[in-house]
Amino acid sequence: MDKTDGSVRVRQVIDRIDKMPSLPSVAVRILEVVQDSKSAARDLAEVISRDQGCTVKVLKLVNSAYYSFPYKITTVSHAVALLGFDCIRSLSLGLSIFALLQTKSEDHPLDREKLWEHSIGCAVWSGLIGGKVPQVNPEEAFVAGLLHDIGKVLFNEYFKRKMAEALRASEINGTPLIVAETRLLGIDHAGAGEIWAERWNLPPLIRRAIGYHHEPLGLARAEDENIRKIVGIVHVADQMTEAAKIGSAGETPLPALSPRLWELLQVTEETCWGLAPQVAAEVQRTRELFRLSEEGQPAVAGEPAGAADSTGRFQPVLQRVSTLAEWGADQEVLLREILRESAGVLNGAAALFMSVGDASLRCVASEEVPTSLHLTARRFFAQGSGRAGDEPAGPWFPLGEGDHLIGLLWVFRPEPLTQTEREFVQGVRRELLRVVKKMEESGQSRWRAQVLGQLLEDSAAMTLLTGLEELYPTLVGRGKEIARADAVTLWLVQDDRIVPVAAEGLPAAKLPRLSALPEESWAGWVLTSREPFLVESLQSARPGAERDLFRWLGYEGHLLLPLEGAGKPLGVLALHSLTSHQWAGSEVALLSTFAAHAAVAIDNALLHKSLLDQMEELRRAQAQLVQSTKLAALGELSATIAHEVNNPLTSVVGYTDLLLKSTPPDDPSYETLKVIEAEALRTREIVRELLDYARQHERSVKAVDINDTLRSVLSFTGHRLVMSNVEVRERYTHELPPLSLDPHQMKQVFVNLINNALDAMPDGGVITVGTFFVPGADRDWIEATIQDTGTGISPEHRRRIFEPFFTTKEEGRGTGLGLSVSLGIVQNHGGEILVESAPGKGSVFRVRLPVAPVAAPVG
Amino acid sequence: MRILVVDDEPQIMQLCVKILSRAGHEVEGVTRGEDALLKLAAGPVDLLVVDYKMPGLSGFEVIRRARNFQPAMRVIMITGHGTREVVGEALGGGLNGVLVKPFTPDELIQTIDAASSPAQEIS
Repeated sequence: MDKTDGSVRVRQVIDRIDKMPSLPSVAVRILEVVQDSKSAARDLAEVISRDQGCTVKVLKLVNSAYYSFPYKITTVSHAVALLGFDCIRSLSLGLSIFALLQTKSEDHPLDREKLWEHSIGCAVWSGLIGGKVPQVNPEEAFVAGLLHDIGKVLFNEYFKRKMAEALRASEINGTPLIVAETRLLGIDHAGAGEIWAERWNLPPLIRRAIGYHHEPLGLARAEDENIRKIVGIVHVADQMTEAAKIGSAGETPLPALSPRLWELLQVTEETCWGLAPQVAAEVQRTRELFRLSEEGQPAVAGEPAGAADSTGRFQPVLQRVSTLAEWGADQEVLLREILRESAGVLNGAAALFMSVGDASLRCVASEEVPTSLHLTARRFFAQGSGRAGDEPAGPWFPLGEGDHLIGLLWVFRPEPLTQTEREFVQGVRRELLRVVKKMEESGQSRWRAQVLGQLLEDSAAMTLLTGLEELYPTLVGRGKEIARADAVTLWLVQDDRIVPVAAEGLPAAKLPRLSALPEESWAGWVLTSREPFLVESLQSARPGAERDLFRWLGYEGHLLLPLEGAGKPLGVLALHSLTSHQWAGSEVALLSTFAAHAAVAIDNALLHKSLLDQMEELRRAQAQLVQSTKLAALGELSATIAHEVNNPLTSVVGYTDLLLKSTPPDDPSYETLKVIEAEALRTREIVRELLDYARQHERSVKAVDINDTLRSVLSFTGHRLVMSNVEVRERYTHELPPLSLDPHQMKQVFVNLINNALDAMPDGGVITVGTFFVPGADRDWIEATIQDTGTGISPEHRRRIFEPFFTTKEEGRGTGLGLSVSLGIVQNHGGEILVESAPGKGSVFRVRLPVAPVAAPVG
Repeated sequence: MRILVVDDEPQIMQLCVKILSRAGHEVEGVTRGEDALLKLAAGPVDLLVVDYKMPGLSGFEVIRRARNFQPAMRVIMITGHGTREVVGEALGGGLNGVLVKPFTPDELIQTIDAASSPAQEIS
């Protein structure tokens, strides 16, 4: 060999290498991702994801049988997380570089397709062997195997003549190709490849694999063990791939492989050969990966588009479409790709219309389509269900599921479609359906996210609605919107029944109360099991009261959700559909969240109401207490005053009387004395009542029949009643239990009430006296009522009538103490006095006394 | 009748004396229980009108001691509003009448008349 000649030739090769296009940008960026940085994984995923082609290939590969993950890996980040930074880095690097090597021109000395297949075969075999060798990453072996022959690509492309010569020499003479290459080109493909890899700054492993795949054992001992092993693997795989005639790289396989290899790799030759069937299968699959070229390579190498073989040209397109449909990440882009491919191969135009999520119409097309098309598409959608199952009409191919129309494919060409072409379109339609369904799902999840967002806002607002009258209708209204149901009903537990409280979309009046037993009603079952209850259609539904109810009302599908209060079930929220409905898990989950919020809101509102009620009761009790205290204090004071006043009063009364007895009636002083006497007597009355008032706590209690008390009071006041032109009606409940009370004091109370009634009816009227038994929660009561048809009490006065000294009577009539004394007496007996009155409508005074065990002796 | 009026309030005592004199009785009045006893020991009295609450000897005390030497004497007690209490106590001691202050002169006369009829005791 002429060394000078050789070195000149080498330089030629090197110059050529230097002129090669640079590494694809994605590969450059991948190489730039710093391994040790904290965000390495994330950065890598991001870099790869930006390159559509790379993404698709990486995902396809990681989901292949190599790894057999139980579920599909759908994003690069996921892949990086699961398989590791190194693995994905190697893979993506290899794939992106390899793609670059698919060149356009023809007439290669080494059949490009065969070289391609050989490289893939070597990659697959290396990967499989790598899986068997301890401490080796199969992915790294795969990539090394994939790129090992890039030197040949260089020669094939730019040194065609010399390469052809070398190949011929190798074939005829049996010289190893690398020897022939060195002679003719000054350097073999391994060396040239390694230099090129160096220019590209590829990792050492790949460089070594490229450079030493023919002499793996030539690597220095100092070289990293991992690298030595992998280069060894590539060598083995290279040889076996050639021997198995998977593709061809223009080499003759060695007759035997060095035993030291097996020592290095710690596997046997048999094991490696045993992988052959697996390799064959994998190779086919891996080839698919590389059909997806960004530059829109022809589907089959060497065959121009529009060939006469119609089946032949559709199949690959369909395959590509299928792969895109499965793996494509950006759905907009891939839809357009699919449509373009389809339109391209048919020489026509294609468009896809979809109604996604928010019910608007979206269109993706291979090229500009006339607007009239949009209108036609809308009409199809408006007709809605029923079209999906139909045979395609003209250029329109509906995409649907059962009765539900999801999309419309339009494929047009001036000439009518042949049968084969129609079959192709059907295939594309299937693939598109897949994509569109995925989009609808993600559209649905966007809708779900939106609804969830709204839900969170709403629930905050809902919990502020403490008025139950507002809350219930709001809940059913919102529920109907969110669930997009035909009707929503809300049921709450009351004692041992389930009661309808609100409904939206169907008349609430038609809803009955339901039993709370699980075997008798669906709602009962929900309350017991505390789980959602799904009814797809009435036919297959569990028996229960609701089944007949909704058959009658005409609703087929139902979803019942439990409303859980703090610690106990509150009720059920039910959604109804006029047609049968398959409730999706995600739907149920979303609506259960809504139900949970609703339950919180209801619980709050009920608590609020109960709090308000309690507060009201407390206020009343407090008011009464204050009143009692006031009265008591007043009582004591009054007693003291009264006693003091009694003495001088005796004198005044007495002396005035004496004076009157010694004064003739016609004396001018007589009238004056009369006035004095009257006033003195009135003072006596006041003092007497004051003292009565003060002495309320003194009583002697007996068991008394209230009816007897009232009868005796009526006879006592009888004359006055008659005189006042008042009719008396007695309405006693007989056989009332006896009450423990002080009869004298109680008579005082009734006399007071009757007198008041008489005062209210100056022109006559009717007094109705009645007694009633009133059962209560913890004790029973007897109520005695005095009703009159008199002038009534205005609301402002009604509040004050029990106040001491408050009177509406004119000067000189009444002391204003009667009712306050009466109230005091009744309260001391543990009872209360209630008033109902309105001006002009008369009044009713109800004296309520508790029925208690009789302690005092009867008498 | 011979009547003795005992009340620590002079006006009331005088008033009773006047009213009863006008009614034709022989009346004397004192303002202290001790003085009453002196009077009662000195000569016969048909009717004693005595206030329940007095400083020094109470009305009941006067009655009890006076019964020692005037067993046939009738007794009327004047009281403020504590009727029941007086009645209760009186059931043991025996009173012939109770006057509740403030009373009118007519009430006084009526009570006296009622008390002076034979064998009359409050029950």
